[in-house]
Amino acid sequence: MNSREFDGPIDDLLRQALQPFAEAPPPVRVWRRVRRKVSTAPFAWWSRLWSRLSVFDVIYAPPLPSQSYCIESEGRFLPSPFSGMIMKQVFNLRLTS
Amino acid sequence: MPQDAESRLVRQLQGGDLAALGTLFESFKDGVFRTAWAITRDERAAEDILQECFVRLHRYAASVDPQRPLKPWLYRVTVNLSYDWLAKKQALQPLDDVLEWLSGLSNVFPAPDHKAEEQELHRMVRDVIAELPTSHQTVVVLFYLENLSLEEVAEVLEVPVGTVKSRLHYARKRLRDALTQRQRPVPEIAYEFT
Repeated sequence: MNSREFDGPIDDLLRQALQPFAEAPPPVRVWRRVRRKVSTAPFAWWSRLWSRLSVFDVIYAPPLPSQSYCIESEGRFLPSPFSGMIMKQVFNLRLTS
Repeated sequence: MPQDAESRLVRQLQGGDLAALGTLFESFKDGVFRTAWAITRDERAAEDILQECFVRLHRYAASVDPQRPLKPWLYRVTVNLSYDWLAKKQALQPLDDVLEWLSGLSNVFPAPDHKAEEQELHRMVRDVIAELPTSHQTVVVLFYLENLSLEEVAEVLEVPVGTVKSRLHYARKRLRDALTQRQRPVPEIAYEFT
């Protein structure tokens, strides 16, 4: 609940002045853009899985038929050249340590 | 939306259900869009921010607590994205362009003739808001446009309620001063007629 302290004529004026921003809804195309982005997000399932794991800072996922990849601690995917070489080493080191 | 329905949708989203994301988008898109628009004063930027906000919700769904209301999380992301946009805009533009942009804010909503005076007053109020520090503008937008309570604004911005109140008091004082100034005759003209 809003405080009565901010319920005078000057507050009404502020509300009215901001009203034009509330009158135009966002265009429908925004949802289409969101949907396209999240649908094409690669390996979204791995990202969700990783956010629930906290054992390692970096996880290496074995390569798919066409591409190798890795996921770092914030769920982001690092590009393939790094994942195949560097991250595998990191993972192996952590497993053996 | 009732909290239990919202919690269920967040859990479904965490399980990868895009339809749940769509329902949440429908529920919160207007608030996110108008907040971003009112802070950035740029409709296209507000579209991009709305999009990015829900892409992030999808990406970081697992870190969202389904037991807590989603609104503060969404508004926090919206405000942060709006700040980033403003910072980028100011960094990219030369000073003259920024001044031109600020002076053009009053033309965001052109006034129809029949309501010219009222619209003029509202435009002046928006100009006063635009001249406030960004952190104060955000409080004004969340409180007066989004009708969030003082406590909700404090939660979104992660500041004490006292800070929210003092920013609102400051905004009202600036507006009162501007209104007083507006009613006072311009000294040079007053001199000519005395």
